[in-house]
Amino acid sequence: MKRLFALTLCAMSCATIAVGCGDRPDVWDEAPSASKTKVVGLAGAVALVDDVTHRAVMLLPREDQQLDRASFPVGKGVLRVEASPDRKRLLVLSSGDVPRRTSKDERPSLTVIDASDASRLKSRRFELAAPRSGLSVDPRGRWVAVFAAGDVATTFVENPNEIVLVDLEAPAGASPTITATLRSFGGRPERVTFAPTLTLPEGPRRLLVVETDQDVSLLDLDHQHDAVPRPEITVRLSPGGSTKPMRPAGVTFHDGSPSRNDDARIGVRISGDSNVVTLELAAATPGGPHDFSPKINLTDVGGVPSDLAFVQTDGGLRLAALVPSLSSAVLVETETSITTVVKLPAPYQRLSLITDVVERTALTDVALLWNATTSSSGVAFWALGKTAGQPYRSVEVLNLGGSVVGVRDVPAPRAELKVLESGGRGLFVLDLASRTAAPLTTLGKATVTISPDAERMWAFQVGESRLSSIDLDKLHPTPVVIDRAIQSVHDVARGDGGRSLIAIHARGAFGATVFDARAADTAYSRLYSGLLLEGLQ
Amino acid sequence: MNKWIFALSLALPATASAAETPAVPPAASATQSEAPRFWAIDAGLRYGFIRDAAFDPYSDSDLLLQGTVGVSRTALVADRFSLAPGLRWDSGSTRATARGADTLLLVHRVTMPVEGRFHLHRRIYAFGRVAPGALWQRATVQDASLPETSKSSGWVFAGDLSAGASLMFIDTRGPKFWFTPEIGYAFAARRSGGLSPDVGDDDPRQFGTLQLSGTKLSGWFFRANVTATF
Repeated sequence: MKRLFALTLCAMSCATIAVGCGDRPDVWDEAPSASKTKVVGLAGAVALVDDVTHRAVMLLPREDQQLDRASFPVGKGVLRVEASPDRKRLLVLSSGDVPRRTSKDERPSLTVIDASDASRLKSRRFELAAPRSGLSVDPRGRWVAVFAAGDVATTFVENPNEIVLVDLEAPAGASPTITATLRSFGGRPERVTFAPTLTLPEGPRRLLVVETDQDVSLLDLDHQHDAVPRPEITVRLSPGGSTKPMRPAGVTFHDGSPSRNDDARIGVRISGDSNVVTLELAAATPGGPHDFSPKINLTDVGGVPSDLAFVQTDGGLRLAALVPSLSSAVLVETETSITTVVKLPAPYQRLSLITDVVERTALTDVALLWNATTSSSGVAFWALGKTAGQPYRSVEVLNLGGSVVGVRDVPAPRAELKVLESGGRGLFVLDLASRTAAPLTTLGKATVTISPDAERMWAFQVGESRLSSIDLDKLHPTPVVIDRAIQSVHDVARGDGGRSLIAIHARGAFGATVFDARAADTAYSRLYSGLLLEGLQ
Repeated sequence: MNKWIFALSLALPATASAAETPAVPPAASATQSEAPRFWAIDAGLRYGFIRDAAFDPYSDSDLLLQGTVGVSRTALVADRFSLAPGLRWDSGSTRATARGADTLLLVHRVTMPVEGRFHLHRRIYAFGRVAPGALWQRATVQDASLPETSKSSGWVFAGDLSAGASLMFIDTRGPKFWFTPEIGYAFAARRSGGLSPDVGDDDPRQFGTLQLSGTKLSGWFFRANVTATF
């Protein structure tokens, strides 16, 4: 009897250990962290991309400050997370299992979550041959370029000139992923930009512009699904015989005259160099693989330019280069490369065209100049028409008592407003129509979120619980009480036509406070917690 | 917790052996002709194995250890068969850390077992047990994303289906003591609804629920009891 008793209990103990000690999934043992969780605001949702659990948790607001949650798997090893420019898609680039030892291990991938319809979210995953950390998204939403960014090495050996194009609207039967290897003269891609539709000799065309550390390549996107895709055109920037590489520092585009199809241009700024390059996309000689050919124009603007834009003046199209070392702007005549220096009241470094907002019917452009280093620089309006017999010299300064380090656009219907971020404690709301700037003082360095409906903006301090709503019509600030530290805020559309403000709190397993964005009142807010604990069971 | 269970399990035989030595009378002579009628009171441990993924936030393993007490009375006797209805209470808890949040699951299972016995010998009987009842569970999550603790509790239908044997190891003129190992399968409905912060009624704030799935505490179990009959 004694033996039977002992044997029974021993058997139960062994069974307990064998059966009961089954481990739970490892995800429960790793706490979420702000460094491994990326928060991205979309048009109708907020995405929390959790690299520990390999998923994107979509927060979808409903009426009465309710928040639906939906979880979508993403690839392992998140390298980059971006929203598409229209904020309807979430793109997650992942390395997969590294090293890949079995057939079940994940390959590198790009996951695209389509949130254009919040009631029917869709996810697609595109497998990639090798992990890449660079991502550039077509502003028109069709293409995604994946490339090896220099800042993150993902594999022992990489071909930096291999660019994977993902066509999100690939025609039936065509592969959505296309791999293009750029001919290299020793350079490696640093920036990839999707050009707007340009009118070329054989019709409208989308181009991908790849800036390497010494040249510029143009890839014809409209012929990438051809049986033999058209190769890229590489434009070497270094003059023949020169050993000094000319590193592109930014590009700008112009479609040219509406009546012509051979004068689309690309302007290229060179890092640390006083030259600017203009590429005129003219007709190619027959027989070649391409139907256009870039004609190169190199112009010295007298100093290193900090920004570049094509502008329409009384004298025609010019390439405007801001040269802070000269406190000037230099206008380059695109046909002849003749330059005109326009002295500016301060060494402005950035330029934005605001013609569409302030003078829609004007034949000449108006530019907003900003980010000068002097304390009285503020912003300036630069009219590029002829004023009082002085061509291009009408510069009106709006002194803000300090420099402006950032300009935020306000969408339509209040596109005439810009939010100016100063380096210190304060914001300005610039009205381009009346050329006034209303100051808003803050108790700390404010981060600004502008609502997509242009009715309000939100100012908050990261890591603090200070949040204010500012009505963009009357510029009336309203403090909003929130009892947890804010990481980010997102003004998101609801399915019922309303809007919700979702404030994300990065402590613990992440939380959120949801307000009605159009009538933010703490009395009607709703608090959520443990968002990254949900959906794992 | 597993170490503790293991130690306890190994300790039990030693304790029982020590008790058995002076108490066990000389071996019984023969099989009895009719099943005895008696009251039985038992206490012991129940090892539940919960495979439900919703259990993961609350436990590092699949084990749910519960204490158990029960009482029954022989109601019907037919030859060597008998039938005994009763009442049983199993109670236990498990705590863990889930993604940095402290979690606790407290479980009370109350059943009304009906036990059919077959008396093989005056010192041994085998039994089968059907035990319908109810299960109360309270889930608690304390996460840094909210100062308040989130809780959820409520009753669900539950039941056990099990079989085992009772082996008398102390035979006195008064109560007799039995060792009762048992194996079975536990059924329980899944509790629906999320967890809500534990705040006072006068708290003006509105909260969303923490949508952790309710745990379905079904699965195989072992139970080891010491039973006193009289």
